[in-house]
Amino acid sequence: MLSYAKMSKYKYPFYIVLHPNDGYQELKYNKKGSFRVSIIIVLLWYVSAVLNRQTLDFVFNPSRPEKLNLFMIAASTILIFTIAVISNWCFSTLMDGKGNLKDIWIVCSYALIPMIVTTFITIILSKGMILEEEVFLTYIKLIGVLWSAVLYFLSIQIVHDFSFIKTVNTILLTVLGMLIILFLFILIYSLFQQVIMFAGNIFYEIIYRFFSN
Amino acid sequence: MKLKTVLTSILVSLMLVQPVYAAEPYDGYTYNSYGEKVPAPNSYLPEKVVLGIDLGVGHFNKPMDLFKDKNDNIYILDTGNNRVVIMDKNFKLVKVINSFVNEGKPDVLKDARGIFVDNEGKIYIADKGNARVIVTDDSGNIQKVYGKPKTDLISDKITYAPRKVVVNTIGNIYVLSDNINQGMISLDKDGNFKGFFGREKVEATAQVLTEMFWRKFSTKEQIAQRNSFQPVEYSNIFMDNQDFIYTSTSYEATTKGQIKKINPKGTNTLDAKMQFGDLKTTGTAKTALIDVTSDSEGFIFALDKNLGRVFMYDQRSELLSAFGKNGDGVGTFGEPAAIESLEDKIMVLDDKKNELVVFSPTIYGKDIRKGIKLYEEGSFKDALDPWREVQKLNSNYEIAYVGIGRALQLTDDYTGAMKSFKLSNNRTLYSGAKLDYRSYILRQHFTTVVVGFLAVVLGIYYAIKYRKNIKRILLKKRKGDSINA
Repeated sequence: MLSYAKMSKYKYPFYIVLHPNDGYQELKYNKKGSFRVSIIIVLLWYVSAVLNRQTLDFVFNPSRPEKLNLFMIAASTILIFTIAVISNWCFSTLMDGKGNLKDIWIVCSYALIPMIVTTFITIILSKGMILEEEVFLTYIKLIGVLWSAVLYFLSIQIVHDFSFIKTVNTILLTVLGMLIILFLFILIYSLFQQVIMFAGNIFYEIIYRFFSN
Repeated sequence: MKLKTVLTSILVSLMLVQPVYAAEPYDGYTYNSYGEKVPAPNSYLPEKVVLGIDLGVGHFNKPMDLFKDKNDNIYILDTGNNRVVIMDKNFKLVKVINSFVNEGKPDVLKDARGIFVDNEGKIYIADKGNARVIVTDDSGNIQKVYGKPKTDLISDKITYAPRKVVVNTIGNIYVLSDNINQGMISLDKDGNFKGFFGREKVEATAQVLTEMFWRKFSTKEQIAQRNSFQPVEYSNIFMDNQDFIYTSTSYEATTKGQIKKINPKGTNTLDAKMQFGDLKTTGTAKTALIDVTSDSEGFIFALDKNLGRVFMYDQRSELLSAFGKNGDGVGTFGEPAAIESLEDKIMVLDDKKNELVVFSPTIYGKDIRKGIKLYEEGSFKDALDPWREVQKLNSNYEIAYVGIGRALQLTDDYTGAMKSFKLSNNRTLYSGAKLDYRSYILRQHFTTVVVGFLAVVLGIYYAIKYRKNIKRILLKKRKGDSINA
């Protein structure tokens, strides 16, 4: 067996995908995780989502390429990921989790790899497939998502040193926390909008009152 | 300064030489597969307007119905003047039925709304004000009178008010009456009641469901005061030469299946889930189809009262084009009342302007007709040329791309077909063309594909089998390197 002490940081995420238990343990105790690699993975997730929307074969692709909105896709990938990590950090800290924010970010990003890989595989396979064969693509995607879900679960469990039940609870709370954070985001956004509008109104009021004749 | 004068003179001269063209009274459009309104060239343009005084019979007065018989004679039911005006297909007067004789006594119509002429030339008139349907010859001798049908299914309290009448080839009569919402009344030759035909169902809209909910908690007195939800009445009926009955619904809240084509068994052969008319309208006016007709080639034309649109459909319920509008100009409607086809032309009767507007197809419209006709016959290859012409004039027309794609697929131009189906936004057809293309590629490059496939499989197999050996060799080599170093 190849010792992972010698493994490069770019190869290590793939080792984790195939040996999640050992991989995450090793990552935690020997600090094998790399923040730079995790950033690359999250950006790749974003790229895969964009490519999936734009270049998945016409047969399986209901979206309109000319109506691309890069910010919306970024919001549904990078932003959601960030919120999930922060929310998880908030709750796991309360529940005596061992991982810090950077650790959680790194292990969670490594869990995305199966999803990204299967997305690229479906994009390539879709080029040669017809409508009746859509079920294959669906299954490949499903495998990717389930695999990622398992990795995510293990990563949370190992990085915080939680029991099974506690991990389930933390993940449920994480989802709740994400909703709260999103709600706050929207609230702050609309409040700021009103403040800006208010400032603008005052500005124009002063202009009309004192500087027009 | 000089430059300025030069520029202004250029501008002024540009304004003066604005191109002069015959303005079209309305803009044509269609809907694409996303339900968006897409501008299109006009498929039909007004050719002429026929007034009563042009025929020498004095102005029409609120004419309500229009009919074309099998010899292409046109019958106008001139409701306000209680007469029937008959023209030939060149809009020359043939006859006017001013007065009617019933068993020796003079008889007059009262608020007559519907007219039908059978193959023997007998004229059926739905005489709403007199609560009867009369059968007359073309000189006004009334041969038969059908009063209110005698049956327990129609209560005595209901005022019988026949609006429209059609007759099939064996002489069964279908009457559409106000106050009766069970569909059409079907009568046999002698006027005996046979039953209701093609009844509408009450749609389970949110409104109906909330009403049902509140009724559970209401007393009888309260229920009596609430509006009752009744099946939507048909606004008009039309019978084609194969005894299929087309119906239209003018109820604005109905959002699907406003046009039906009912076969003699009573089932609708058009797409009942399809929304006919305008899909989205700006403003309050929604589509209210008051008449429907079908020409000898199977094209369906429906008339919208609120916006004055004519919608052209094919037998697969696909919208081919929309044209016409309400307005004051020539070729627009005051209040359209009835629509009828004449060869490839369309006639619309206007009961406010008291005129008959005749539309004829443009080059674009003719090509669409040709394309659809060939397409429906199954001769896809012949349909290529008309569709190419249509596509030249309107590159946003998805139906044309379907036609082109089908033709290209049959001539083995698979990539062309795929491109065309993509433009028509039709994934099923695209997938079919892609399958053809894929098997074509596989056939062309059979050896390469098989050899390549085997090479990949064997490569993976041996890579897995000798993985450890390879690793060992590599490690040894590395160790050897380090020793050497």
